[in-house]
Amino acid sequence: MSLLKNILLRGKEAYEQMNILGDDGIPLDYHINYWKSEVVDFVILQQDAFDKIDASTPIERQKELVDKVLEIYHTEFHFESFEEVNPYFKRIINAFKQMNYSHFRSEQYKKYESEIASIVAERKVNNGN
Amino acid sequence: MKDEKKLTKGKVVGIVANLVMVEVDGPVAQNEICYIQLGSTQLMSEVIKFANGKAYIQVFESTRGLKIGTEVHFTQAMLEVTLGPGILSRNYDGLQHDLDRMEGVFLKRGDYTPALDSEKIWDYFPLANEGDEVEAGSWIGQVDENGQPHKIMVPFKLTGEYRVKKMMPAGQYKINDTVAIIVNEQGDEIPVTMVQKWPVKIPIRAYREKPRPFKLLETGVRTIDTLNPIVEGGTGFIPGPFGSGKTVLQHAISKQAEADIVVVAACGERANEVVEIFTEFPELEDPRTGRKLMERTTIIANTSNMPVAAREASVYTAMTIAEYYRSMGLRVLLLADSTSRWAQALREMSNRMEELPGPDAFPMDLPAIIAGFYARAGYVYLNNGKTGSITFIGTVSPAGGNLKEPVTESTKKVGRCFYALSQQRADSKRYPAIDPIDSYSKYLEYPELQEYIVTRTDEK
Repeated sequence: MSLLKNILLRGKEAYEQMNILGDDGIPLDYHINYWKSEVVDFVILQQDAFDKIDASTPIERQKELVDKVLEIYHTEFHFESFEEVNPYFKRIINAFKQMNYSHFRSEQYKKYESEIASIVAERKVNNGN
Repeated sequence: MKDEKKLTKGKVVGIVANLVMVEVDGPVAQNEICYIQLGSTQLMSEVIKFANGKAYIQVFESTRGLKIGTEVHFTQAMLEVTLGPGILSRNYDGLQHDLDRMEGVFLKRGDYTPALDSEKIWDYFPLANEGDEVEAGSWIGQVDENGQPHKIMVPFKLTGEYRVKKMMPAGQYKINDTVAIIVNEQGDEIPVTMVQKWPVKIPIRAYREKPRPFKLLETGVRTIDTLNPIVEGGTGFIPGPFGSGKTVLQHAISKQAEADIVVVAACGERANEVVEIFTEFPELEDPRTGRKLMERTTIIANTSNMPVAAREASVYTAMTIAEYYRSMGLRVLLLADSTSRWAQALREMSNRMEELPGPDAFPMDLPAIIAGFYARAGYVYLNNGKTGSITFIGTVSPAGGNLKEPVTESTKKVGRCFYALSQQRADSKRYPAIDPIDSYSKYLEYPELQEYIVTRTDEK
């Protein structure tokens, strides 16, 4: 839990730096940190109160979600420029959001689960392989 | 007994808004309830100070038109709530008068309605046997109240040990029918009905032990459960600027949290907001049972245009009802919106009594009053080994968004969970607008909770 807060704090710092120096004035890592924190924000923190499934998340589902988000956090991604970061993470967030709307472990849920895995695989850096 | 003694009477000698000075002809007690006879209406009041041979009473109604010399009758009882089957799904005012049974669109001064329906018939079955040893709070019978097991208990006011002499068989009873007769060591017989009274300012202590709360209370709100969890029997508070989603969040929690009973104290909020609660709550569906959420909810409403003194009482009324259900081994969720208005009511009375003002003119003992109130929540082991809990979440409306004002400060000392609503998040349409970095839950430090989380996630 403290790890999640740490991710959010790093993201907030990166966002402030971006505001001061401009998005081309900060290292690429800051962009990635910021967007990783946005994944936590959009996927875990935010909920759609109008959607029956998303409005209330049972604790087991929350745990699985946190594990998945942390997996994203621990993954190292490769980007050529900062302009690629934003659209890429937005795709991840969108897939997660759709997953949050689906019944837990339903067909649809699994579909988005594998979609996330394939998006992650696109830019994952394989260390040591 | 008490009733045979002559009741004290008095005459009004001074009036400052709703603070009335009374000259009395006999003894009066602190917090005793009295009635001012104004024409044909009786105005309910409470003794809050006695000095220079005069009783200072706060009137729970408007005192317009009140004259010097008006008669006052004292009752020798403190402000009490009526506890019994039928509390759920009712809308009460701060003094537990049933709002739905009042006539007309506007509240009439001195219009008091009974809290419970004395004509309704309940299906009762006994839980104790003749000859059982019982004490205050022991369960002797049960009725079904909107799907919740409503325990009939030995009155909390009794002290010492009792023995059940006679139990009525299972059947249909009204709340005032005697369901059991118990005797004390001297052999005095005491009839027990389904209703009992309890003074709101005194905590109900019919339990054996009150440990540190350790069970995670699942709310279904991810930013609470995952980042800053609240526990069953825990206390939390939500300070928030206007329009940041305090009410929506409270609705979400009351709807989804793992609680058996929800008590909402709408304290000092604008009337239209309270009307919103009245109209929205009955519509909300309980996701777990599929029934209406209102069936296991009680609303205590005291809007900003209702008399101030009753507002102070309303949070205590709500807490006492919550304690009553906790004594039945149920999990109660108590929501108060907002505790700042309650503190303002305290301030108003304190100022009228010309007490020395504390910070921001709040009474000097405000931190103690708030701490004493929060301490009534908690997780308990009842005398029969069962558990019950009151989880309390209060909102605070800090004036001008200043989190350093006395009410927020004093609440911060006692509330273990803090959910900061951020205007920025609300403006960027991020719901729930709880700031993940500023908020905290001190329960995370408890090793009991950490152990509980490990075992709970292993089970599933």
